[in-house]
Amino acid sequence: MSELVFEHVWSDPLKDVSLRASGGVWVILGDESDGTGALVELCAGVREPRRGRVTLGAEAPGRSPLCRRGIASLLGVEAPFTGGDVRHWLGELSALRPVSAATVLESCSVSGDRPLRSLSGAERRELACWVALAQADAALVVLHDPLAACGAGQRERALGRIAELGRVTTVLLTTASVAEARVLGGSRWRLDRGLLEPIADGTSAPGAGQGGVGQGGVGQGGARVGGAVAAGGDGDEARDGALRAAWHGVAGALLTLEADAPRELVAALARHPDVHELRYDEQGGGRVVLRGSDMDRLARAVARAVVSAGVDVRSLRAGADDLDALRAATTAMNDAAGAGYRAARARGRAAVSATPELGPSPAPSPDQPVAPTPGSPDRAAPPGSPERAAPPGSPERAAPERPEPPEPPESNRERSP
Amino acid sequence: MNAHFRQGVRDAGYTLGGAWSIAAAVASLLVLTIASVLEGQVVTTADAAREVQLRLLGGVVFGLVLPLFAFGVSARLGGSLRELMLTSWARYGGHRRGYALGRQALAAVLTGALAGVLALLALGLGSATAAPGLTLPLSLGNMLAVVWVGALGSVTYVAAFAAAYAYAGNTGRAVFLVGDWLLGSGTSLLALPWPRAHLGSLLGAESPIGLAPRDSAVCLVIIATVATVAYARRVPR
Repeated sequence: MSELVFEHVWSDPLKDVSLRASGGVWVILGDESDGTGALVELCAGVREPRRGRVTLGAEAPGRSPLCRRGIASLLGVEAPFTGGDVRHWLGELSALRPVSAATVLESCSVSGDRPLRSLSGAERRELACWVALAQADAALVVLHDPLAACGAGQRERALGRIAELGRVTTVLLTTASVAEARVLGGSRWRLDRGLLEPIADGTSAPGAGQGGVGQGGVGQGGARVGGAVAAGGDGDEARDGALRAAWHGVAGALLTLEADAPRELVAALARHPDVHELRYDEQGGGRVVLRGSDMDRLARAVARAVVSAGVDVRSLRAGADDLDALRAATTAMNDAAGAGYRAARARGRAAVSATPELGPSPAPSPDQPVAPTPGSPDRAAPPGSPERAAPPGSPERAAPERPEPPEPPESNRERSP
Repeated sequence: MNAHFRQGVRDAGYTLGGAWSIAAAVASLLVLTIASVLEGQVVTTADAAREVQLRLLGGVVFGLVLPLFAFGVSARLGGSLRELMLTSWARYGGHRRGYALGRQALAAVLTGALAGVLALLALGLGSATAAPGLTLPLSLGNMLAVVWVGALGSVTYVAAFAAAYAYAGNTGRAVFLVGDWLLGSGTSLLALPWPRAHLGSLLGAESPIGLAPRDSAVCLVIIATVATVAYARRVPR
């Protein structure tokens, strides 16, 4: 089985992404702006990294047509086709890879007689999705938001096919939906503003981290999250629980409702003391996300607001299935871990200065490395790593930004028009 | 011809489209007709008739219509690296270089065919508007010569525009067109890398640094080859 390897890959917006995937289903949770599209394009060989290396087996997909023939892909945006009809195009494709036109057309809602130019963006994605899922001998299947590309009636079939492919080859999927990521299963990773990290939800399927590299080097991705949790001390279990809860879509008292004209309802909810957080996007189809300390009280608040505002609610469900919720929980966990780390460091300093035998020792400067304390992230972070320079949760880590590397040589630079 | 090249030719046909190609050809024909009518009015002597015919060939067909048509075809085809990377054929395992060269081949054939037809028309119009014996006769030798020059010029322009676009995008292509116009009209060393200078030389105008017409033909072949190789190297496999 060919191994997909990302070695310190930089390609806007991906930042120093390293990954080793071999066999099974790999789900990357992130949004288009986080770089999921770029990640899929790199895997499919339609984009070359600005820096770093992407290989499948021993070959780079971007530079080897033979390697690309073994990659079944679905891109975020499928480019418009030139001419001819769907059946003719599938026939041409069969010259390059073993794809049966009949199998694709059976699963896909796009008719074989449709001219390719008449296909909408969604139809092109659906067609590409089924072409990818129909290829039995693919060395790598890489799909950008596959469940969104399929129609409602094809969802189960697509899930079944993904599971089948996951048993025989490497399937890498990206999605912006936490709910879909849960349904897809497999090893879960989070792509946040270009940084790839494993999701430490405690429920990863076997194979999570199987050969996983994470950010910046082998083992660091997992170590960072694990270290952050360990450093937090009391109360961190709760925050870790919040992360798990966010992953499972039941982040405490969280309600999502949809209504046709919810402005008055939002106003009523905003005045209610049990509603601690309210999110409403007017362009988002009347979706309102509420957070509170207790589910019963939150539900009662909603009921009262609905009655007082006289608004019809289309749907109401617990949990947000929201990438932002997961991010918020992760950030909270990192912040707490950072606070714990700083507290442990301060306690260590106090203990050292209080030891009479050692005498007065000069206080370490802020940039001076400190001896690792048990349970601190320093135990996991090698000298010179970002974890050592800036502990999790510290202001330096608030935004996952990495310094831009020096300009790569001309030959290695991504070519753009 | 391998499948990748053939697919490139086919996709270029779809991209250019019949309507666009016909419209561009008709516009080119119109330019030649108008120029012929205007030039025909000033033919009074044998020398003037000969000069008018050369102006139609060198100035209008190979100096104006050919570069502009090649520029238009290149712009219509597009073919930026991003587009080539995302092209369905290449993405599913086709060879990008073969495919990209196939696209350019169709552009060259189309431009060459138009240049050849227009050159023959210019030759014929020159003969028709002047008294017999004053201009280049419409002989088989002359016809083959202008068709050959047209084909060579077309290949050179299409390859050069493709390479300029691949390395410097739209700006590069436009700069090449302007450079060809400005520097290619001269006869100094600066005119050497531009197709216009050599096409003029092949049609009897003054050649750059006094090159013989045969050397100018060799220069055109070299420019076309270098541009094609540079373009192919720029496109990843």
